[in-house]
Amino acid sequence: MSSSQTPTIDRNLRDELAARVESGDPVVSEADLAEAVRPGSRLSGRALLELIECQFQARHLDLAARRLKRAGTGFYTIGSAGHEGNAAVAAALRPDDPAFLHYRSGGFFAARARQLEGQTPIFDVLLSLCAAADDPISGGRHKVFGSRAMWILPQTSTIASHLPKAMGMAFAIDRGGVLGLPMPVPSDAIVVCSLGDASINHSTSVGAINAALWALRRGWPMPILFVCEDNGIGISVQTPEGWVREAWGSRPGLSYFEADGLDLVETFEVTLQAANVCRSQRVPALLRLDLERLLGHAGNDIELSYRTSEEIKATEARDPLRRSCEIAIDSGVASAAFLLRCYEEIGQRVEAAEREAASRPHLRSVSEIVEPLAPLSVDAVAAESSRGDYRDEREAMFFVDHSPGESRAAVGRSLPEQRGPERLGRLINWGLRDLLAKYPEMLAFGEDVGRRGGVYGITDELQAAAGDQRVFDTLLDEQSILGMALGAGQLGMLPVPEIQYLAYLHNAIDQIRGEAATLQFFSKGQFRNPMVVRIASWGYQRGFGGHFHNDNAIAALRDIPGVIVACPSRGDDAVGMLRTCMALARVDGRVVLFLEPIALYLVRDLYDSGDGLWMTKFPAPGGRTAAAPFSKARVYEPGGVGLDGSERHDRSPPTSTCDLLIVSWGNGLWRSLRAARRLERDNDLRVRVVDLRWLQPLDLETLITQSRRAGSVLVVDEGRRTGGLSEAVVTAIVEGLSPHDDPDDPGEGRGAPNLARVCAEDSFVTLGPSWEQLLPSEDRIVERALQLVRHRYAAAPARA
Amino acid sequence: MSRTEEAPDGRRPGVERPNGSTRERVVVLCPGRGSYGANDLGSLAALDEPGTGALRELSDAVSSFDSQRSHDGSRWLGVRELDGAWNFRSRFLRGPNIAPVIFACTAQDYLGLDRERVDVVAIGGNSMGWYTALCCAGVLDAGATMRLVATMAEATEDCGGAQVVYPTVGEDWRDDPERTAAVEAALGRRAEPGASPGLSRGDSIRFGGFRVLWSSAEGRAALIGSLPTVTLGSNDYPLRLAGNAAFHSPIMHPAASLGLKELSELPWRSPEVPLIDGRGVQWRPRIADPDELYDYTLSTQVTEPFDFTAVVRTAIREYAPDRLVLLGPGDSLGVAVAQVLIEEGWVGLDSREVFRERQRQNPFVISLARPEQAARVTKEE
Repeated sequence: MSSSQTPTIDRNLRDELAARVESGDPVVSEADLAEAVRPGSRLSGRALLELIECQFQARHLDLAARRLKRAGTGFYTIGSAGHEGNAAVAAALRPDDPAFLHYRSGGFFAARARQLEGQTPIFDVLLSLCAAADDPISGGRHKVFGSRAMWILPQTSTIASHLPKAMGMAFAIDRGGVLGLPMPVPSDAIVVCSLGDASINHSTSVGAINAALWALRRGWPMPILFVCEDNGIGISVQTPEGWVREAWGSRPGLSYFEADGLDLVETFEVTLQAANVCRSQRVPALLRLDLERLLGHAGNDIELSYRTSEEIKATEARDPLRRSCEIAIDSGVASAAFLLRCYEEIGQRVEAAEREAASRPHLRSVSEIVEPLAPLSVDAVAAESSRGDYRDEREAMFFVDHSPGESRAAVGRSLPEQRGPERLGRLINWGLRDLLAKYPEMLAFGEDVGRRGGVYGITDELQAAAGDQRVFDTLLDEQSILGMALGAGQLGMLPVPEIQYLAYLHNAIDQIRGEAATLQFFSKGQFRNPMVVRIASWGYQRGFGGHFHNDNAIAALRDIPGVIVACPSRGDDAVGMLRTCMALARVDGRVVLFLEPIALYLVRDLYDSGDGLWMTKFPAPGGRTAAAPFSKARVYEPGGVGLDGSERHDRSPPTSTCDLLIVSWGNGLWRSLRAARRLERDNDLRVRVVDLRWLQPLDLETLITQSRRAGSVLVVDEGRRTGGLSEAVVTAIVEGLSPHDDPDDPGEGRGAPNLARVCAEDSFVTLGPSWEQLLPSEDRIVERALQLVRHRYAAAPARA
Repeated sequence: MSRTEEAPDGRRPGVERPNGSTRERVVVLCPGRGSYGANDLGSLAALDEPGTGALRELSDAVSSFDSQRSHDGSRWLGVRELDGAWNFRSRFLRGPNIAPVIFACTAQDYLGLDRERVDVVAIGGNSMGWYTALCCAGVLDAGATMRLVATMAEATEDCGGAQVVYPTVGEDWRDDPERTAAVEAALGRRAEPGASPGLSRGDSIRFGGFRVLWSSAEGRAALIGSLPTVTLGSNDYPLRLAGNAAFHSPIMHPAASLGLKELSELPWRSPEVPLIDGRGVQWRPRIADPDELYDYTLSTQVTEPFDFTAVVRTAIREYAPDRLVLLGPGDSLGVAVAQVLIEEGWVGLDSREVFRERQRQNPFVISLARPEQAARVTKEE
């Protein structure tokens, strides 16, 4: 290692140990290594030495990260220097206590690796630093601390967004036990979750700790140990002295501990105490470790721009490795010569392994990169979604008796498929009940979901049917609701959280965007967090207006890689799609957002008052029509709406051409069907309507095939003109119909079709009747369709 | 044994050296049973020459071991008697005869490493090679290790059972899923309802591209019969390992009990060089607890599977040596080590062809049984 590149802390440690050797420090130390290092401590001399080795390992990996970066073969330099005392935290826990670690956890990682057989943490971390495809946890997708065997779930979070899911997992450990579910961790496991003194201020941290305490007040076990590694600074911003203690030290319900994180013996002892409280009492605890940050925030951080050289020297003097060596030498556990040898030996190993890691290839192609992003086992999902082998469980769930006064929607003593057509909202309710029967590991929860049965009654009486351990109310915090889903999913449950309104998802979207969607990707599919998030969505609510209850923006959902967005518009589709969504979650661990159009929950009729055409029958499980195939649109053929064939007069073959294709979904679909009928009846047009149903990924095949058969295409989007789904639909059609994209159409293809959109305006939805100005109406659809068709025939009068 | 190689100041030179030293960092691997054959007779002749230090210590240990056996009227051969024979006889393969000889040969090889050229950064072994590794790392002296090896060879032989080896790779030394499935299927039959005690079988050793399986004596034929016959190189499999009992299996519990009882007085120390055990676990100098080493050696690894693949994996990934050195006798570890390296893609060795070429030009794996390779790491005559 060339001296000019040697960081001061490395030189200081070597010099100090060498000086002690020179000064006649005894070569052989005398302490009995089985004895406690200090009176009253449970850390033996042998265990201390082992932790010191872990600290050395973490330090050398930090130094390697910087060498690799300089050589252009490493890509991550945020290190653990100064925080290596977290090795003692790992040592005080069990290897199957799930750990959510932040990026300064090298000591923890090394120490936990020693608790299991055959782990190779040095090379594993180096591979991750080099973004090598052989990195065993992320496969070269990110530098993370993670391991399936070690129960360390990889985090890319830098803003403590991993806290809600850690809280969720702590909740799920005990809840799974109560439900008698097979759990992958012992029933007395606790969750450990580390964070910094800067990120503890983030709303995700505050929310997660708050949720843990709220749950505790509800009487729910919450065995989680938050470890705040307090180095007093967040990048360049000083944390006010004593801030963490002031903010969290006396919070009722939160057991608070502090330790000198530079002192391995004290850290081990206090962590044992904190973990014991968590484990035995099943309550949350917060452990603040007083630490230093060495080597700056990251490799490119110029500390001198915000710290004086004296301040930097002062932090370097508090190097935890020097402190550990001092403890070992003074207690007779090891000689300075031994420690120096050990430090150098580990350094040599890291340097040697570094060369090998740097030679390993990176991910080479898009297909390699995205391989774990969106797994899809088509046949297995189809089989699972239409599985119907749970009749006994269904009967128990549907025939449940309720005490008088509680029953608001008598279910009766028949299975739902034996009953008549029902509205969307009721069918979703039955669909959820059906799934609760099918999946004992399913949990349904959210604000007002339990006792009240949802603000629209969609979860009505599910709690009575499935019990309050499976269907329950949460606190009013979407971030925590999703965090609970994440944690439960990671332990093998099938969470179905409800977000009360689409607008409320946005303050918590990072739990989907940054956490749920990324886990399989950054763990090569080794960890997963299946879930189906029900979201009451979209506008058109009469008498209950305003932006927050009628939000129509889904752009922020659709661009999240790997996330599925589903949106039924009618009841039978909703049930079939829910079954498919749950199968996607169970078989492939997928994250599904299920958007329910609130305004259609209670709609009975389609064309005329009393026609009952928007009510459908409950699809029986096990049959051909039990499930709606994934990412397949529904096509309403010209001549009728195709609902049970009742309104269909002209049974045109599905391959026939038409004058107009309307593409829509959700509320827009219902309006489009009404408009289509007017256009057929009043204007003698042949109109086909496509219900996309799956908004991500889109059914491109149907979209393009049907566009090709249409004279004109109208996209009806209840979302906004800017950022709405119609932008993607139009793009897909234009691209799909481009001669360039069609090998069978060498130059004379359709090219850009005669195409238009009817969208919501770029505005927030208003209160009162004025919202009608903003959202697509039936009249506007008809009007725009006629303009479009007239333009088409003016340009090309001969009808196809 | 390694202590005699220390620098005068009592520090191990390999750790003390500054960067830029030309000494190569090597991990040393000790062979198990089946490594000594007819060609190895006479390997220990050098021990009869006047020596000093550790070599003398080894020679003395062999002598006193042989004297003890002779004095006891043991039915088993002395080390020098066997090694000095003109012809190799099948009874030599009996564990109590061959194991002490293998240990002595391996230990002798270890002492022949040229410490001016190599720095031993870790030591591991396969099966009984673990006992030898303990000696090389300074946990037990040569005399104590002789006793350990002989006692356990006799005790395990008395337990009976058999070992059968089967490949899970093809001629390219890459995984062959069909062969792996065949092994799993053969082992899976244990769990079938009504399975007879004769079906008692399991994994004994993970050995690169091979699985060594154990069975009870009466179940051996059934185990062999449950595996389809395949060929790898010039051998047909499944192949019974002659002279071997059901090592590393529950059948060995009596041997473990006997060992724990009879060998409790051996002077176990913490290793002076890092050790890698049959799970891939490291035993670090000073940190390793001699009591735990005793338990692992005489109990855990006797009755549970030995994962030599994990040994090699930990050796390369955690120590990233410049080379791996396979001690003799014989070259029994070479193929398995190569298969692990290829599986790991280590130093670019991602196929059998690349491995061969690399070995021809600048071998990553040094087998002391191959003189041209051994010359790179051993003391000059």
